[in-house]
Amino acid sequence: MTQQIIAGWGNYPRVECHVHTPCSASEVQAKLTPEGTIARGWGRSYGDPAVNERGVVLDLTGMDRYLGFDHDLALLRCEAGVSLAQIITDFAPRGFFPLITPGTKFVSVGGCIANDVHGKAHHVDGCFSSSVLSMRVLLADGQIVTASREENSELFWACFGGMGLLGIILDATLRLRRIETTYFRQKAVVVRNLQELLAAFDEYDAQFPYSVAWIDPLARGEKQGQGVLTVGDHASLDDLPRAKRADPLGVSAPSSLALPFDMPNFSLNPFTLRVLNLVIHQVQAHGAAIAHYEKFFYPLDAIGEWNRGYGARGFTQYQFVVPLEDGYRRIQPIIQRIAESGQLPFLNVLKKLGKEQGLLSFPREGYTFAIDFPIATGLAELLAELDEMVIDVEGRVYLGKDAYLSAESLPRMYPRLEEWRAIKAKVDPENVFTSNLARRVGLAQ
Amino acid sequence: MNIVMLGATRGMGRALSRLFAARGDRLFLLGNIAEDLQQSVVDLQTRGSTEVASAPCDLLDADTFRPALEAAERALGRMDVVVVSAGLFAPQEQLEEDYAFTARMLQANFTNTVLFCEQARERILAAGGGTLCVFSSVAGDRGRKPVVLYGASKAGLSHYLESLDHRYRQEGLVTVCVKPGFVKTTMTAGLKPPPFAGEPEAVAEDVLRAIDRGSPVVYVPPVWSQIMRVIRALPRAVMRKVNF
Ligand SMILES: Cc1cc2nc3c(=O)[nH]c(=O)nc-3n(C[C@H](O)[C@H](O)[C@H](O)COP(=O)(O)OP(=O)(O)OC[C@H]3O[C@@H](n4cnc5c(N)ncnc54)[C@H](O)[C@@H]3O)c2cc1C
Ligand SMILES: NC(=O)c1ccc[n+]([C@@H]2O[C@H](COP(=O)([O-])OP(=O)(O)OC[C@H]3O[C@@H](n4cnc5c(N)ncnc54)[C@H](OP(=O)(O)O)[C@@H]3O)[C@@H](O)[C@H]2O)c1
Repeated sequence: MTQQIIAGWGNYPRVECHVHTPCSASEVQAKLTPEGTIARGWGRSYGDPAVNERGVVLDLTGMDRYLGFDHDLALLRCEAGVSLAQIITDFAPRGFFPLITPGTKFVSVGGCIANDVHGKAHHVDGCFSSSVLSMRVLLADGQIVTASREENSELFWACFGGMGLLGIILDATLRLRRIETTYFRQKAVVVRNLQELLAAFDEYDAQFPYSVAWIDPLARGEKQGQGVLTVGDHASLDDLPRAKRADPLGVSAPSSLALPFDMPNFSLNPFTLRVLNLVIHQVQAHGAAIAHYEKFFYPLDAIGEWNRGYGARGFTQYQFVVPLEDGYRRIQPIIQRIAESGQLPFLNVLKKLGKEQGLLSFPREGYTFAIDFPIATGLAELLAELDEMVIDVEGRVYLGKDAYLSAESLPRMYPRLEEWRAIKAKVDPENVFTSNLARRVGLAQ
Repeated sequence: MNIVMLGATRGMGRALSRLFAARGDRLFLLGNIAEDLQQSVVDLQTRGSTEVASAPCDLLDADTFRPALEAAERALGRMDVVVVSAGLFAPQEQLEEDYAFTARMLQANFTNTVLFCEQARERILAAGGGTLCVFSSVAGDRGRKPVVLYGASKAGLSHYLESLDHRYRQEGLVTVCVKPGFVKTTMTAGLKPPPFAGEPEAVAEDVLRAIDRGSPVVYVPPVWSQIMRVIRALPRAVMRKVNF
């Protein structure tokens, strides 16, 4: 065990914890203490769900073994610390890919369950839960139980979006996607404002399962919401240009497709922000028609530890979703408030989400918008104000990114919270599993 | 090639076993926790090794060595490489307070590792030759304050491995003594990593190369070879003053 100062991807807050690094289920079981424990995967949540001040953090990245693969059924059973990056490296060459993936591949299976992560095709594929058949969970009383849609189904569903607070997920069985190639057909659509953007989402929905838009956070007035919508779908063998057919399932991006810009230790100010946004715009709008998955899914992974670019104070991401209906009316004032706030919004991403699943899973049908903010004076006040605006339009904030939401706001965003709390009270009445996030938003003591 | 490994469930052994599996070697794993061993077997099978099997073997119980090696030889036909990466460790302060664990550590790292190697040696030589790759430590290179007890166990082991190599290489037994510096595994989880701390995956690549080449000694990460050259050269008076 080491006393360590750790943080989420946003480097805020930074918290002193006792960190253990167990490599097997038996070691995890041995390390469980009643004094307050939280599991941690690859630490890609932005805020504080995987830190536990003065308590125990179990870093599970050493639990990285595969426990079985059924080629015919495309079922992979693996330990919870296995990353999607590892699954891709080992299984893409055999024609399989994770069914659901977030915008970085450096995430663990356990973390993907605990945040019930969504990808760029949520309205078609659903959340990560869609790909999970069953899991084994170590409960507060030291018991290991299997949870699936049939067995312990209450626990199964509560674990998705459950932020690691019901038990330690030891391993899971996932359904993988069969792929012919590791490439994507993609198309970039430049839009001049928010209205055009929302219309473009609707238009391309039927044709392409994957869609994501980048918008210029500093554009105001008529140009508010200007940006680029990228849509795409898995490329079949026939879609590939002849040169790429020799290695259709390649896992490392050919260099010609690598990101054409990089961000050294940039300092963030409105000027660099504007330049950067311009560059991203250019790149997005002129993307090749056939893109490797590295570029299509994980453009930011190419930049390595880009989160350090925000400096010592760190940053947060504010991601919220608002209902589809009347989307423009709901989202426009929030974007305007952000543009006028004087804070430095960076990397603004808009996606469309499909039907709601689970108890605490973030996605609900609507538009989701994510904005990075460097930590600065006045940010907390702005975010509290935005929380109210989001609640007013029946939206909610993503706990996997959040570092500021209050315990008063949470129930107003997640209508099924009480159901979840009842399950927590049943399986972990003593709050053996707790984290900074849990205490802040009132999910555990 | 046919590989037998004691200590492949975690740490550097786990990383090394994956490299063997990735290139299609046949593996036979030995270990003391049945469930864990089985999970490692499945992991390696899933990663594409042609054949992986296992048998129980407890480094703290020398009686288990014979049946374990017999099972391995039966399953593989012949053993081309035997790797021992199992071992115990605790910081000096902890060892000074825990006499029982100190006894187990000394027993595991020296006496029983040597006994295991002796049995492996006999079988490898009888089958016409092969490689014995054993994890010792830089801690065995020089008497130092932070590793009085652990270092002694590894010094004895390194000494044995060197002699073994001198004596039997001509008869076909190649001995590879691995000397890790600081590598980030469960073993070192409680310690603050020094500047040159290694990752098990990178270390495993170096060890695999050493096995393929038959290098008698390999420092991992490689920079430890220079570090230890300096430390070995320091006068006693200096060693008495410094704390590393
Ligand atoms: C560049 C980038 C892009 C992203 N894009 C998206 C996106 O498109 N969609 C999206 O949904 N998210 C996205 N995310 C967020 C990320 O996918 C989630 O935060 C994910 O949960 C991180 O996984 P992790 O392994 O790093 O978990 P951590 O951040 O380490 O932990 C997250 C939560 O999971 C819990 N947990 C981890 N392992 C276990 C376990 N074995 N058992 C029980 N609980 C456990 C922790 O306690 C914690 O509450 C993005 C993040 C980054 C950095
Ligand atoms: N890590 C370092 O910095 C470092 C430095 C110098 C030397 N070394 C040496 O390098 C070797 C490997 O170290 P590591 O860091 O990879 O260690 P590790 O992560 O602790 O792994 C040790 C392995 O040994 C096995 N083992 C322990 N006790 C056993 C027993 N009684 N019977 C059978 N197997 C047993 C463990 O399996 P189970 O726990 O599943 O039984 C595990 O597979 C050790 O000899 C160590 O002394 C390590």
